Amino acid sequence: MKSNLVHKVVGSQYPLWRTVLLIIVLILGLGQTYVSTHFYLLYNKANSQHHDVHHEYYISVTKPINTVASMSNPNANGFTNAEIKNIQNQDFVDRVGAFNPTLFRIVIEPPKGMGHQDFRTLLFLESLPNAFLDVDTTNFKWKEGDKYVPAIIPRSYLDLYNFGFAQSQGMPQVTEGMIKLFVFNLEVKGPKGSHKLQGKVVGFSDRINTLLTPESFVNWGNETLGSVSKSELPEQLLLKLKNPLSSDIGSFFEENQYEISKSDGAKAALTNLINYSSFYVWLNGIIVCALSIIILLLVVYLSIASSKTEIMQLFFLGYGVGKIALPFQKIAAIKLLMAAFISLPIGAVVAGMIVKNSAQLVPFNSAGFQLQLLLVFGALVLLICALVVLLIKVRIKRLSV
Amino acid sequence: MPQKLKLQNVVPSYLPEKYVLNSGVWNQSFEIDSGSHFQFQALSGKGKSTLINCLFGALKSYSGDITIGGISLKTANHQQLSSLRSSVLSCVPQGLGLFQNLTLKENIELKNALTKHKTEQEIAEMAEQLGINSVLHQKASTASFGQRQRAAIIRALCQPFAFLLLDEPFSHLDNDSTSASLTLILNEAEKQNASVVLTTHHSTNHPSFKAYEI
Repeated sequence: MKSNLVHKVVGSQYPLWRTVLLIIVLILGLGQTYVSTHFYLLYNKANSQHHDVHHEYYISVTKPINTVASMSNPNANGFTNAEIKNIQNQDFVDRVGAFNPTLFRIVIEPPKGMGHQDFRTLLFLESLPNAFLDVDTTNFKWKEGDKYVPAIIPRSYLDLYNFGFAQSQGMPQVTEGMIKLFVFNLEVKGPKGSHKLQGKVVGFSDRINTLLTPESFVNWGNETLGSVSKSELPEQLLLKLKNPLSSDIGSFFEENQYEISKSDGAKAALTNLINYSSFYVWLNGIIVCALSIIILLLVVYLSIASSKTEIMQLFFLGYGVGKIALPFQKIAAIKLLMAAFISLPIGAVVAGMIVKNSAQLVPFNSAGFQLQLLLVFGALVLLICALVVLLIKVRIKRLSV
Repeated sequence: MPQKLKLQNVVPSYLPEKYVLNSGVWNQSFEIDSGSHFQFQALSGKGKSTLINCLFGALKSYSGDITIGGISLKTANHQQLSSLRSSVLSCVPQGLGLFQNLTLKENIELKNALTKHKTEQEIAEMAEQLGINSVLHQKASTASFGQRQRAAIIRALCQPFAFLLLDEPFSHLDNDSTSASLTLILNEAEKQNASVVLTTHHSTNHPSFKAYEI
C-alpha cells in the first residue's frame, strides 16, 4: 500500500510517448552492445584458436638485386653485422633472424624404388634460429654421425606438388605424413670433400618460404666441405615485428633501400588492423550503449525534477532517500531489463546474419560460445542496472539536503 | 522520553532587521519542553512560517542554531531528518503539503503507512470528529481548503511526536471546526506528552498555550 502510494505520487511523471521512445533507444543501445560483444568474443575465440596467424607478425627482408654489383662483389646483396644490428635497434622490430645458407653443393635424389630413378637435382638449404619457426622442432636436430639430415619445407611446396606437379605428371598425391616417411639421398660436395647422406622431412612451415635444415648441419658442411660460393653474408633476414602498423617501417626500408615481402607486410598490417578494428567495434558498441544509458538517466532525472515538489513533501513526511528512490529505480530497471530482453533476439539475428559467412572461412570450436556471450551480456546489463539504480539514489539524496 | 527543542539566537538571513529588533523569538534563546504548548502570534510577513520551517528543519538559511535532543537541525543529515520527522517532529505547514492526485484518505494513509501509528478505525474516528468522514475519498484537489486543513491535521497526528508544529492550522476553519480540531490536537499531544507549537494571526485564547509575539 505504502510503496503503491509513493509510486502514485511520483510515478505519474512518465508520459507514454516518453516511455516508448526510451525503450526503443535502450533496445538500440543494448542491441548494438550485444552485436559488438558477439563480434569481439567471436574474434577473440577464433583468434586464440589461430594464434600464430593473428598474433605474430613476420616479414622477410632482402636487398634489391643488382647484377653488376653482385658480379663485382659477391657480398653485395648480403647483410653485414652492422646492418643487422641497425635493423635490430629499430623500435618496430622485436627480433631479427638471419638465413644462413649452405655454401657447398647439394644434390638430392629420391630413394631407391620410388618414382623416377633418373630424377636428380641441385638443392640449396638454409638455416634459421629455431625461435623463428612455426613447427615442432623436436626432431629438427643434427650432429655429425646422425643417420638423417632433417629438413623443414614450406607447406605451400607440398600443395604445389599435389595440386600441380603430381596431377600433370601422373604421379600420386601424398600427405604430410607420407612425406615424413620418405628418405631422400643427399650428396654434399665442396672443395674440401664430399659425403653421401640421407635426408628426411620433419615438418611443414606456413611462415618460412625456403628449405630449412638445422644450423649445426649448415655450419658443419660449410667448414668441412668448403665453399663453392664467394658470398659469406646472409642475404635474407626474417624480422619479427612489434608493431606492423608503425609508420617507420616503410620509411626505414625505403631509406636503406631494403626490400620487404609485400604480402607478409600487408598480411601483418591487415591482421593488426583487424585486431584494432574488432576492439574498436566493441568499444563503439559500448559507447552507443553508454549514450542510451545516459538518455535513460536524463529521462529519469527529468522525471525526478518534475516530481521535485512531491519528493520534498515526502521528505517532510519522514520518508527516507531509499523509499523515495525506489519507484524511480523500479521503473528504470524494468525498462532496462525489458529492453535487454527484447534486444537479445534482435541482436542474435543481426550478429548471426553478419558472421554467417565469415564463420565458415575461419572455422573455430564454438562450444560454449553462446553461453559465454549470454553471461557477458547479462553481466553487462546487470552492471548497468546497478549503476543506474545507484545514480538515481544519489540524485534523490541531493534533493534531501 | 522527554525532548527539548532549543533555539539559540536564531535570525533568518532574509528577514528585515526591523522584524528582528524587539522580537520575542528572533535573536532570542529559549527552550520548548515536550508537554508545554506555545503559540506564536504575529501579523503577516513577520516570519511565522519561517519559524515553523526552521523548527521543522525545512529551512536552514539562518544564523544561530536550533537543536532537538542535541541534534542541530541546520547540520542534520537526511537520515537524521527523516528519523526526526517520523518519530519526533510532526508538522502541518501553511501550504498543507497534501498530494493533489491522492484522496484525502490516501494522503493520511501515506503518513500512517510509514509510521503505522494509527489503525483505520482510529483514523475514521478522527475524521468523524473533525467532520470530514464523508469527503475522505475525495481527491485533495477537489476538497475545500478547510477540509484539506483538517485532513492535514489528522495526517500530522498519525505518527509519534514530541513536537507538533502547526502553521496557521485553523485559518480556513469556522469556530466549531477550530474548536474540534484544537481539542483533538491537545488530546493527542497529552497522550504523547508532546508539545504543540502553533502560529496564528489571532490568539486561540486557550489557557494551555503560552503566547509569544514574534
